[in-house]
Amino acid sequence: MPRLKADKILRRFGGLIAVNNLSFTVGKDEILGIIGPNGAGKTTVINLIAGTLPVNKGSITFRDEDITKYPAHIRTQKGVARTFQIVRPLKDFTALENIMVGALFGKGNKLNEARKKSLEICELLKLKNVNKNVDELTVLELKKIELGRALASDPKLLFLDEIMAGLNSEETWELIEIVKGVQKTDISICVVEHIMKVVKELTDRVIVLDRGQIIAQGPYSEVSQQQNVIAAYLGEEE
Amino acid sequence: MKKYILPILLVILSVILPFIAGTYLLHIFTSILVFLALSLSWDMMLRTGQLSFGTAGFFGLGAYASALIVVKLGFDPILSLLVGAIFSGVIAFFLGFVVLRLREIYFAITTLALTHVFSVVIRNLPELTGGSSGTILSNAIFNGDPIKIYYMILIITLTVIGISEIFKRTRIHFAINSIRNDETTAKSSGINVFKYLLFVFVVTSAIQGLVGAAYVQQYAFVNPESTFSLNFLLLPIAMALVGGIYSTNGPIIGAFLLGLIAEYLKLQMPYGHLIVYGLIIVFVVLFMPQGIYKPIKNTVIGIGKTGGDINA
Repeated sequence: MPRLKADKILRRFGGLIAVNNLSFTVGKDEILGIIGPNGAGKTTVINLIAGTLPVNKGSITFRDEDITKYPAHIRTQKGVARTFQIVRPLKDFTALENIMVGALFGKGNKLNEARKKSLEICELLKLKNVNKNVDELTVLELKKIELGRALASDPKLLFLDEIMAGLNSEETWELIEIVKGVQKTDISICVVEHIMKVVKELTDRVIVLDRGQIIAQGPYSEVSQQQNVIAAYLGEEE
Repeated sequence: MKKYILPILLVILSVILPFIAGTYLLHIFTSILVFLALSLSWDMMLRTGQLSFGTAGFFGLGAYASALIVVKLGFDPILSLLVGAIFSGVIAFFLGFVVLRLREIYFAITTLALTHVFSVVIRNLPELTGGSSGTILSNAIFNGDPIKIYYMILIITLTVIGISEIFKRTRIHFAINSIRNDETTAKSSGINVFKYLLFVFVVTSAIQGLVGAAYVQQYAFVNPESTFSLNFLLLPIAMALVGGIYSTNGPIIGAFLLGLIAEYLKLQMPYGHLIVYGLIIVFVVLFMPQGIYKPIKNTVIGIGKTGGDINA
């Protein structure tokens, strides 16, 4: 069984079908890329799997359990974690406390366990200013907090929503190495990304979305050559 | 250890106060402690991001529950305090399923409306509650002994301070702070947002009910006008705002400051304290939005020591 199985999930926003009968799986030990042009439904897919939004139709199976009806916080406790495209730090907390929230409630750790574990995660992320308030942190540090909070909940499946956006080349490579390290700890990962070098570097397999449906899938090197994928990104020639 | 010295001194001072202060001063302090407990309970709810205007409502419910169970069923007045707390807590629990679906101004207005609804219901049950003229108890608690009453209120207020500190020092702090900061992040981190909101709503309402019960047993009289009064809504809010919200120390400082100023001004000009109250609140909100506690604290212990301290 794959770790995650989405079966014909569908989500409407008014008259618009954002995700249309989409089926895909994420395997154990896999980094799956989800790519596609703007408005293809990538972030909506994350919201549906993480439970931020309910599906209108279809089912989601995670580790052999149907989680379709579970609210977001239960899914997190079961092991589905996510980061947000636009960082959402908890502003009245320090960097460390932000990460502790994931350990306390996602994993159910006690305060001192959560603090210890969060410090370990900070080390893994090479996050130094652990006791600074979030308004004093750089973009890279805020991204690391997003990632750290997700990791602290001890996930089995991690969604990274454009986590490299807004970073310079050096910072991007630093984060790529960190994500690769994370994947080795038995965490399946889904990356939504616009930066193709990241997709190429990180993913084992990609699915290409356009208007809420899969138009291609396979290794990035193959998919990126397909005519319909190029057309979806660039528009078709008349 | 050093940081516990001041709180311990203050507790000792409050315990020996009846031996050093006269009846008048004791009465003022009793009254300040009542408002302090209400102020803290309001602040505890605010820490979840929900602005409640229901303080007077649950205060009044507790007051009536306590008074009626003594008058109608002959309960022990001390035991009736618990009844007041439980009654307000239970009502809050059931109402919570509805009102905690609301946020921001909608939550605030609904809780204000609830206060009015409670008052109207009680006015319209004259056989049970005495209607708009209220109910008189045959005797005040402890036969109206001001020292015993002071200790009763002191125990209640210290308990509320203790609850507030528990809220600041345990995982509850992380949950409710997260909910206030960003509910979506809170949910995605595994926090059951509704459960925590309901928990805090029930606890703070029960506190308000307890304080209301103690208040009515002190005066041996309850009527809708004086219990569901704006006094028990606006003064606690003003105290928390002036002292500094999201903390235990803020409402404590605010309650004593505004309480003492009000008492002094009442002597100078009847109702004149209300004008000065308004001015102080406007001044603090405009120029010291964090209240006066945080700036004082930062000056005393030095800026930049905030990191890593979950009690900051």
